Amino acid sequence: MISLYPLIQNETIKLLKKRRFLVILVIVVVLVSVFTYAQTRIAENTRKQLGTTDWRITTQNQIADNTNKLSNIRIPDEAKRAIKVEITRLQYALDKNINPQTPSGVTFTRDFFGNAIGLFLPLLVVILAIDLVSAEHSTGTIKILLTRPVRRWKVLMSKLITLLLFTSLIILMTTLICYAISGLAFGYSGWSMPVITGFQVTGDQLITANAHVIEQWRYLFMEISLCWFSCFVVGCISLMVSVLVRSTAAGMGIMLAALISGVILVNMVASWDSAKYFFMVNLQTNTFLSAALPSAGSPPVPGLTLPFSLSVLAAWALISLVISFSVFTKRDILN
Amino acid sequence: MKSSIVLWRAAGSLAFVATLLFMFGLIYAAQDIIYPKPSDANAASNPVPTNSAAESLPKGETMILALGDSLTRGTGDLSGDGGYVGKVRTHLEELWKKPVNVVNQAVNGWRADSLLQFMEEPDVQKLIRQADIVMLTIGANDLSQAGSTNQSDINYAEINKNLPVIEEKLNQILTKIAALNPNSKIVYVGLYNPYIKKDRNQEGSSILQQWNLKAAQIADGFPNMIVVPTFDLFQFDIQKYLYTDEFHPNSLGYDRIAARVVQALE
Amino acid sequence: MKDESIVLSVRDIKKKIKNKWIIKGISFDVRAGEVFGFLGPNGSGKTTTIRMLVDLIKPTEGQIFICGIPVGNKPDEALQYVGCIVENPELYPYLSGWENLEHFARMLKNVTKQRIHEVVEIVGLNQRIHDKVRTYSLGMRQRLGIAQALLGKPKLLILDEPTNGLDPQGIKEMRVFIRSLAQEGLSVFVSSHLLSEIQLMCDRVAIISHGNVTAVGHVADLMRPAETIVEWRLSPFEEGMAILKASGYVTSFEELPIGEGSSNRIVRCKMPEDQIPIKNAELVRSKVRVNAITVKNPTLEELFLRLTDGETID
Repeated sequence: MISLYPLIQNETIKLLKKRRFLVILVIVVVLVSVFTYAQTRIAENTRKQLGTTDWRITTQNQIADNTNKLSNIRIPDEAKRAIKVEITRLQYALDKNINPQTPSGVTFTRDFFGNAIGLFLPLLVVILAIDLVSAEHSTGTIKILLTRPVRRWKVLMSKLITLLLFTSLIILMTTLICYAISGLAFGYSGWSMPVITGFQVTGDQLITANAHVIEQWRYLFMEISLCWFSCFVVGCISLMVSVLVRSTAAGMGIMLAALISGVILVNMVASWDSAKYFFMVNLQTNTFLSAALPSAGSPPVPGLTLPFSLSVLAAWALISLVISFSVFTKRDILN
Repeated sequence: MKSSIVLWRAAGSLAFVATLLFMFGLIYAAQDIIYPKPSDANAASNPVPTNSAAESLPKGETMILALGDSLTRGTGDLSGDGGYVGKVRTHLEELWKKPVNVVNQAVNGWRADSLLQFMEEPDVQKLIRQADIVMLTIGANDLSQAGSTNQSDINYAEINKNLPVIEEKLNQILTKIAALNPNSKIVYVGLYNPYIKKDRNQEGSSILQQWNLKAAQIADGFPNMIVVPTFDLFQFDIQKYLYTDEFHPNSLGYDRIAARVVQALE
Repeated sequence: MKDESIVLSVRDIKKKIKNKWIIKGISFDVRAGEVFGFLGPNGSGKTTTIRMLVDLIKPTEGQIFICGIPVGNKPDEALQYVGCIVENPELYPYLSGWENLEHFARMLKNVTKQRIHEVVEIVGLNQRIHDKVRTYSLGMRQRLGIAQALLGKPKLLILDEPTNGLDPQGIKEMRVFIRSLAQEGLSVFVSSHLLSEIQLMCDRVAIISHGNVTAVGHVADLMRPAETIVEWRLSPFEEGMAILKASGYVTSFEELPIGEGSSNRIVRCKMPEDQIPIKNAELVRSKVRVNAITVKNPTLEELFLRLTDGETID
């Protein structure tokens, strides 16, 4: 019996030598640099407009801006609810005297993950996962791989574990890159800065009963871990697509369409209740940490809770894996 | 051949450790969210720092605090200048050759009591203390709501009845601002009559003149307070200066208000 | 199955793909130390059969045993005795030859670094083994593929069209190489659509056509019934033909016109090879000019024809 260890070693070496991972790291570096620059410009602009770096004034201004948006009749009800929640959150921060936005490397990283989880990070995992199996078909190496004295489920299992390892690597490297690059601009402190978590949204009410203050590093750690889980689920689904679809381009297209439709669907869940069972609507689990808005202008999805989202994601991953394994172990390799 | 083994060992062990870490983090996060600790009292007692005003305001820069309703917010100004407040700021920067900063806390649809309530907040009071110039408009919503009926015409009798109450609120607002910051210049922008064309008997205009007069009387009690009249600006050819809602000024209208305010501050 | 000398045993396998029987029942045995040819035209089911041997495709019916172990039930046990190249030798282009070998060595038990060096030595790739496979020529890939197949010291080597795409020199080397492997006791299963290759390399051969095995046996046995086809280019043609016709050995004639108005017509006849010089002398004596004598080996199609004919007549 060949154990899984050398098989995982094989898959890891192949992934690294394929240079895909390197490409992903380069993408992250470029993107983080661009965002860091944008962030410095925004900070500069705010400073110019308000003439102050006092976060209390800035926050006060954000509240005023949001309150004005609220009085606009043309804004739909869902968006208004989101704005109300945001105002409550900002007000709470003011009351507790905790700056919601201290510019620092850690805060930037936190924000980056908050925004990247919906599309960007899953996309990186898709890039890696989508040709794990289909590439073996297109290069023809599947014919050697599966004629070795190793059971087929072991071959796929080694690919799955390698995917898990690389999902972790992507998240870890993104964190490090974010912190390193943004730290250049905003400083490397901020680990122990207090952050509020534990908000709960019920209807258009923001419940602050369970809100509590934690150090920012704890918050970041929890957020990253939640992102990691979402990414791995997307990886499992990509693996299934890779098993089912021979063409890497077609597989990429399918996953891209799914992820982007998720970004759009989040806005529609208010009207279409059963859409909450789609995996792509549930990816942004980190919103449960802060009850912040999933993205600017889009409302928090009603009816979603962390246990619900995690269960939906886990169910999708599990079903994908069952399909992947049963197809992969039984299928005839015809070309 | 060596390199791939080294690569595998480094990447593999790093990834393995990271995976364990994130698994732990996931459980930790899930627990923290699903079984949240009750709000701790320590967080609430974080004292509001009082010294931040001094350190956050750069020397040699002017801060304008704008309060009030949609007129101060700049509703109807499609030019992107930000209503009369933004236009005043631009003029003053050119005039004084130094940075002028604006904190605009005006909210559409606010009435005098909304502003009074808002000014109770410590943060707002801090802002007022920091400001070099406070500009505000208030009262227009109080008056128009007092006179609104089911019909299209305005109930002037009802407005007249309520006028003393609203005037008293204005008095409170201006007095309070002056009390909070006796050194800042306080600019109250007077009201104009957007319905002047329909106002055949001058009923509305006379109410507004009375209002503006009252504002001027209050201002007389404070050396740093002025009322900038706008009534005359919109008396002739009002269509040219109104936004499509026929209530708020358009960019040209705000230009004219801003010009007056700048003259007053020069 | 108890027979130690039988390395591969195929028992009446059938395969149905999309409601069509691609393989209609194939049986044969491969013995230890022999080169076994698997001959059939393209589309006859050769590749499908090979894929079933190595568990890439599951047979609809029938069983395959490698060293007595059923491939269908215990593929991981059975396949450790097999090294194979299915169709083209496809390896990871972004890895070096050495890394590819390491990769597949990890999928086997007890393959040491020493063994990897050995197989590289055997196929003669020492010079370029640390270059990326992307830069290899087809011949080098073929050799790397064989090195990969030999890693686990298999008892059975399965090669699908091993000479495809090689130049004449390469084909010759491959032939010598395969024979030398067999001499060391390895069984080699070689598929091809070229009779000449099978003839030159193999001890025994199975001939497959339309999903059926039409004959299994020693190459020489299968070839024996054939009389050599000899083409004569004669002038004057009629006289020459008359002489050949008069001979008792000549069994059939065929006139092949080679262009209009030409006197150099060809007559084709089946005759034993040792009669060629005798007939030639006779023709020369009768003042018939012999422009050319061509000895033709039977083509694959002709062999098939004869095999099926033979079956019906016998």
